[in-house]
Amino acid sequence: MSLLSIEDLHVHFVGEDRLGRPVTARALNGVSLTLEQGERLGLVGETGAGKSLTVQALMGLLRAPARLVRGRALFEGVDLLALDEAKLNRLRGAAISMVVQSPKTSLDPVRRIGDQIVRIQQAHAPVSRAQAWRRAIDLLEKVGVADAERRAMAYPHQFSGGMAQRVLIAMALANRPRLIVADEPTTGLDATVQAQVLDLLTSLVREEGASLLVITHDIGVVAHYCDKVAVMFAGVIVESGPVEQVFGAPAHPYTQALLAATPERIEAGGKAPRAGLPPNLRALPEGCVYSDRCPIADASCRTEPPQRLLALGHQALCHHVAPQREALA
Amino acid sequence: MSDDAAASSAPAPGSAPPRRRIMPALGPPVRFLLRRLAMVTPILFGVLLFTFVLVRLGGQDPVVRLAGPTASVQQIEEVRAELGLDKPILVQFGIYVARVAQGDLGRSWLNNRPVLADLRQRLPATLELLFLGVGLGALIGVPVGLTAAFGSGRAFDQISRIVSLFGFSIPTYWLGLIMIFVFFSLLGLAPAPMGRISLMAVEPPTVTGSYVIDSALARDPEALWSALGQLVLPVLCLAIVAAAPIIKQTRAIALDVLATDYVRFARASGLPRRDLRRIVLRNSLVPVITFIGAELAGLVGTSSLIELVFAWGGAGQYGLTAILEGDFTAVQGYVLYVTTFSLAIFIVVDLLVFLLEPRSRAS
Repeated sequence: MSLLSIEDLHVHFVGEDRLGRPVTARALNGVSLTLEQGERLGLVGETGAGKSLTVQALMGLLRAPARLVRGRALFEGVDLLALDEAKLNRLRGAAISMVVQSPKTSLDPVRRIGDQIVRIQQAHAPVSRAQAWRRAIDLLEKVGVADAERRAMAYPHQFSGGMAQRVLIAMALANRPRLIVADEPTTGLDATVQAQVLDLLTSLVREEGASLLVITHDIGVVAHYCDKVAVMFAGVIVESGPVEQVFGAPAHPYTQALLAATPERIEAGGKAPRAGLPPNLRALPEGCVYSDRCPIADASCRTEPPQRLLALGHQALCHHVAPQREALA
Repeated sequence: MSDDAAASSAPAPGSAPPRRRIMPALGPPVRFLLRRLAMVTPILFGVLLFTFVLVRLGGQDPVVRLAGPTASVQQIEEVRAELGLDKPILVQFGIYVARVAQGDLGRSWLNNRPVLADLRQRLPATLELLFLGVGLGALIGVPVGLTAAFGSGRAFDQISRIVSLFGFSIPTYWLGLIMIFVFFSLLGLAPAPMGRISLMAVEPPTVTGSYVIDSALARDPEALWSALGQLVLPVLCLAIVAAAPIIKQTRAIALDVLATDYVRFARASGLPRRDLRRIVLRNSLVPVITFIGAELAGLVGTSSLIELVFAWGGAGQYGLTAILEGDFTAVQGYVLYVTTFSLAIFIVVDLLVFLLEPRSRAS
């Protein structure tokens, strides 16, 4: 049994246009991915691809107008999407914890840092305040907050962005999670701090034996820190597999375009890829969601693309994968 | 580490960097309070000047009225000189400020009594009405606003919005008149709207000036009952007017907090609903208190209309009468009292905010 297995997840945004007619934006269109114990999976894709939305659905954080249409998200065999709030609360913040992208605003501004780490412990286990406070200090030391005992007394506004992100990592570790979900954990941090935070996060994840699902649009982050990668476009995972395979031999035209668009490749004389508009979620093309932008699309792409297995664990959702792959090799 | 620089410069308890302090022995709240109090004098001076000029621009010549319709020009000028109104306006103002500084607000031209004594005597009546009315309004408004925000869009929220819209739209004095008509004239449930205690009851000996407290102190149940009965309608009237904006504002504040990253993150952390509500409550507290403070100061004017309708005989009614009669010294005294009251409220609010808001203590 996989640690996490998302199956055919569909989420729509339901609203009205200016004339009051119902409008549906199909944001997630059958997301499926699996994560094994101890794995680190990077979820990449452009803005609006549905990376964060996938995680929000998983964590029970969808709010109107987002609507879960169908799908399952099995965590250790339990469907998270079918749980009521109380049961879900037992898991989130404990077995599954989250590191979010805006650390400074995600901490309660009127509570001491230490108290917030105590609060998340006491929400999930009957621990005494003194005990939880001691663990809070330990955790702060572990994530590299100097002078932890004194800093635990401080308030969030007294922390820099990088330090606040360390606090969030401490909170994510507080209840010994088996899965940590990091949603763009380094957005808004200085480049040097980004590397520090990611090094810290991944080393602690390994130390704790937890799994990591990291959302990013930075392909370098995935290459450096993850075992597996899933590439997302218009609410669909178009390609997934081990990092070396997907990045070494990208099969899906979108993955190829994405990799070609990294500054390093363009500098090295690579041809800049065709720019495309972000997909219109209200009017996705029939069949393959990428067909409007795809340079090799043909008539067959108007039908649902097949999931092609290319190597162990490496798969792509495309009609044209097999010949393309041979041409590359 | 580059991001440590910002972090370590933040102050923490017990290890403040050694720097020169002007008031070393005092705690931060006291120093904060002193800083606020230092601003009071210039504000009061500005208000005095403004009022002083404004009443004299009003177009009314009080001297003509005071001297009477049969007075000759010479008599009018005599009265003017007697009141000191023949002197240049700056000189008049100088004399006035010098007297105010000594605690002398002058005498009313209408009844020739010291303005300060009149205001002081009437103040408890106004404060009683104002604090009870706004207090009751907050007691209704804050829970209703919070409940509406927690169940945003549901039936309770919709009903509370309609109710508070009514509260907003109703003119205060009209509400007072209707209440008198219904509860006194029609139903006979309320006592006659004539002052703070029934004409039949004996006024309790003055200790605080509040009839409720004084009659309780004097162990006079009859007077206490009467004083409470007289309070019901005007307090209710003020509470309705005060509650409407408090509901609306509390709801908006709580909705803002509910939409913050930290509430979202708390949900993602699996905190139980009870904890989430506590976070919302605690973070809404400062803006709600600030708003209620502003309401309290702002409703001084509204409450004088209620005083008038219920013949309350408080400072508000005194001020209204003075304005209508062109009684300069009384108007000036009244405005000074309203300003002082508002400043006192704002200082208390500032102090509360200072104590409740960690970010304000940082600098």
